[in-house]
Amino acid sequence: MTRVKLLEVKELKISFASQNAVITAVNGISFHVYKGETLGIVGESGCGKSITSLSIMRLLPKDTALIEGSIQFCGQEVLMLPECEMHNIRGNQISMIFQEPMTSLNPVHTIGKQIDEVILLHLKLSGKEARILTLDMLKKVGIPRPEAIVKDYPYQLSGGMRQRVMIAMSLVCSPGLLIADEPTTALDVTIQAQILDLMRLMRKEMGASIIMVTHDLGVVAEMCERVLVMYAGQIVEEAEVVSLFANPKHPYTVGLMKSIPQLNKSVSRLVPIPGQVPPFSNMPPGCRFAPRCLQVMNKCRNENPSLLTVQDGHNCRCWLYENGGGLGG
Amino acid sequence: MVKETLLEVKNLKKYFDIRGGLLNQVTGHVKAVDDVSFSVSRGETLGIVGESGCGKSTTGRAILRLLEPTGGQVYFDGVDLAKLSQEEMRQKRKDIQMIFQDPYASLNPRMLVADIIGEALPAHGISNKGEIIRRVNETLELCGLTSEQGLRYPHEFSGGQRQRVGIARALILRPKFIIADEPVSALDVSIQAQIINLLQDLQVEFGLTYLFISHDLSVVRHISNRVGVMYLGRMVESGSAETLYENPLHPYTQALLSAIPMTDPRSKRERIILQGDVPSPANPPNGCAFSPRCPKVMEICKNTSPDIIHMRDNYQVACHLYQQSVTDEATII
Amino acid sequence: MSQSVTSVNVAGSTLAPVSVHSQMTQFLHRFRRQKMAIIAFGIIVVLFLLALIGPAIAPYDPFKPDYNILLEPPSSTHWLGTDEFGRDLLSRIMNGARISMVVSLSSVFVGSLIGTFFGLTAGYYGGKYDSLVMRTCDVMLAFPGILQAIAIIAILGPGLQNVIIAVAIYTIPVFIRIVRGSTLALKNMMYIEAARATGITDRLIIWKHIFPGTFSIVLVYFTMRIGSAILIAASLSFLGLGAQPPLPEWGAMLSSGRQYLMSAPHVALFPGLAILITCLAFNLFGDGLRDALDRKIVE
Repeated sequence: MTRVKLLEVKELKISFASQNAVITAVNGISFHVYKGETLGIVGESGCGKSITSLSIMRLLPKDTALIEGSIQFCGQEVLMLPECEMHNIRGNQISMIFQEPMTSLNPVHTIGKQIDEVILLHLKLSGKEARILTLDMLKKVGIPRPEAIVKDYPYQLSGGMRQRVMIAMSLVCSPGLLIADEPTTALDVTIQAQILDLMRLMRKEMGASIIMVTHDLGVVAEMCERVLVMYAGQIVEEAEVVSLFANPKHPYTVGLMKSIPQLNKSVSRLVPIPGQVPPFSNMPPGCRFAPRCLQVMNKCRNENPSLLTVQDGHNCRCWLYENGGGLGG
Repeated sequence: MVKETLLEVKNLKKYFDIRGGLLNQVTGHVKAVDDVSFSVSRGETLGIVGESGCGKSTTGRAILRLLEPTGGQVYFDGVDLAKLSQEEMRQKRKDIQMIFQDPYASLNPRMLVADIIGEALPAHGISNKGEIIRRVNETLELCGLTSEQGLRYPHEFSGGQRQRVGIARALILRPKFIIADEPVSALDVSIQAQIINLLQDLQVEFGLTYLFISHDLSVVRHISNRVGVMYLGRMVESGSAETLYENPLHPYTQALLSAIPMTDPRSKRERIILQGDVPSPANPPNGCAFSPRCPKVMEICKNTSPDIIHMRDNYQVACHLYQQSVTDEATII
Repeated sequence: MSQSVTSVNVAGSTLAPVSVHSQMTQFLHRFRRQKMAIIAFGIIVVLFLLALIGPAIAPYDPFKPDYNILLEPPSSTHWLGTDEFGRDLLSRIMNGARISMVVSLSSVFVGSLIGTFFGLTAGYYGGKYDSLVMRTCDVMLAFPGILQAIAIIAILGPGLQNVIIAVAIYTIPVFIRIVRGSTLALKNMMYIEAARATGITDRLIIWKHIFPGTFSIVLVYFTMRIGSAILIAASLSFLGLGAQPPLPEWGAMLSSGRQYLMSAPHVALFPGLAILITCLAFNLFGDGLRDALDRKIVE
């Protein structure tokens, strides 16, 4: 059973023109998502993960963002499509849920109207049929009494409910790919558990692929099959989730795991990653993590490593693995 | 080894008025903190966890009288803070300080960092300019900043550095007790570790006692000796961190701990998924606050609010599932 | 004013660098764009100079009558003509500048001082004290300013000193209102709560944390109220309740010049113009100041 690549990103480079300079927020990344797979993109703020996800749907501002490279969805080159065809893709074939459901839902329209709108835009259904589908979808995402909720406005719902509405809205047209950008970060932990549970259920029912963008390693471990770790606009490690957590290779990934308190491993002292993420306007030559790396070598300061294969399916952007295998990862 | 109690909170209440109607009368109360009791021993860290709306931040502020408590007592070093006059409380603040959640909003953007840190010294008896400068620089360095950085404005610093300034501001008075209100929640994950380590180091060096308020269960487990869990303004369970996390008694604590995503992809844990949302503190349910969502709810829970049951080793739980027996050892019904 | 840096290493987006100019330069930039405000500022500078040295450089004695040259139109010897007592109008107007400036500045200064004090304390402490202050304000503001001023003069008696008192009283509630509003907004800032937590006195919090936040709006209103103070003072003098003859106060000059509007309009025209230009200058300057500071706050 060969796996079909639903999304293929090649050498994606995203730059922004600002007042004084051009900033390259994402610097030539390549990855793919198979049909039915959940890919995690993990990294801290400023690493470029959110920008990457926005660029897949071409949601970045046209006048300031320069996107280079290739994004292929179902064989089609997304970056070349005219705007009218993009409308067909957004919400229909690829949809997105965001971190803050309050600001992503229109406060002046009822819930029902907002979901209906998505259906009417993409599917050839009448108003009545659209409403039936809306109610059905709301029921599926576990909203009690959907007939009452469709008449409510976003401010009347709790954070968890709003996120469920967002999920309903994004799945109502049965997209092939769902991009979830920090979907549970703003939610309480017990509500987060509900939402992740719901996403797993929807994934099973609808067979959609998911790109899960988050900074929470726990969420990644629970939800994802493969993971990309991003740092300062580059992918620094790529692996299957079990392999990543059992055997992290890149010093940044290792550092990240050591610096987070984890319930299943009790340590007396956390090991923080020293220093700070360098500003985009002042990236160091060579490896971008070198100034903070505890295993830095001379080569790292001069040459930026490319993504090297360590094991089958496990890649790492680090000179430690120049000859494969690696020196004590 | 009997530990000396530094802070003892008894039956603390903080209600906010809800006003409405033609004459703007009080039509109800938001019971943000509803009869909370706990104690903190000298030198230890008590963590308070809970989700949004549980009242943990309000508890911290009420202890410091940044919000005036509606009822209850707050014994600090033997003195009831709730009974002090405004001026007496102001003087007490030397011993009991606070670190705030938002490193961006908690520093006056118009003041130099050194001024922000040293501002309170004259109010507590140190007015000599040279002494102030010396202390400010000393505290800056203790918190991982340089004296040169003291001459800058807050907007020139990152979130983690600003939080260090906030810690320095609290530390410079050499308090006995620090209430940390979500001190790392607004920071990046790799910076959180730096700040957590700093707090632990300072605790050892200065013999500080911490009340650590957070919604992040992993961080609280790491830094606390004892933990209290709050739900809708009440303390539902409290005890040693190890015991609570390994063997939670209250159904809410059990659900809370099982909800945390584990960083182990292979663990197939039994997840307790709670139904519904957290009810509003303006309209709490009858009886036990958790009863509408409790997977182990019984008939009594819907009518009667559970009392706090004291178990072995300074462990408390407020749940009808457990009952105080005659021999003072709790048994499970 | 602080210096901004080119790139700020903030946890979060490090994408857009902050402008290289300092806050002061940006402020001046915008202010310059307000050309009217610049011209107004120039006029204000002239007025200040006149107030300072006017009486010294005036060509004639403003009080000395000369019955030979009554009501003369503008000429080469008397640039603005003479009034009904033969006194040089230009000299009288130049002297009047000092009177107007002194009266308006002192009255607005006193009024803003008292108003700011009550605004800060009412806003910060709240409660019954706040209610009392606000109700008093409401009562004071219910009366039109000129009526209030007349009532006060009626109690205290005419004269410039009492004009200052009257205008000051008229100014107080305006400042209480705006400062209280500013205070209420600032009181809830987290850094104020943090300052309270460190145990500094309320007095210090109000003075060092809250007042600097209200300062810019106080400054704007201060400037604009000078214009209305001049107007009220002139109106009172016009009605005979303020400056008494032979003081060369513009309002009084306008009043006495009224009788000669048909025969010698210049006697009333020039003092009237002086009042108009002065008021306009202060208002435009205040406008420009407010626009420039507003944008700074928004940024």
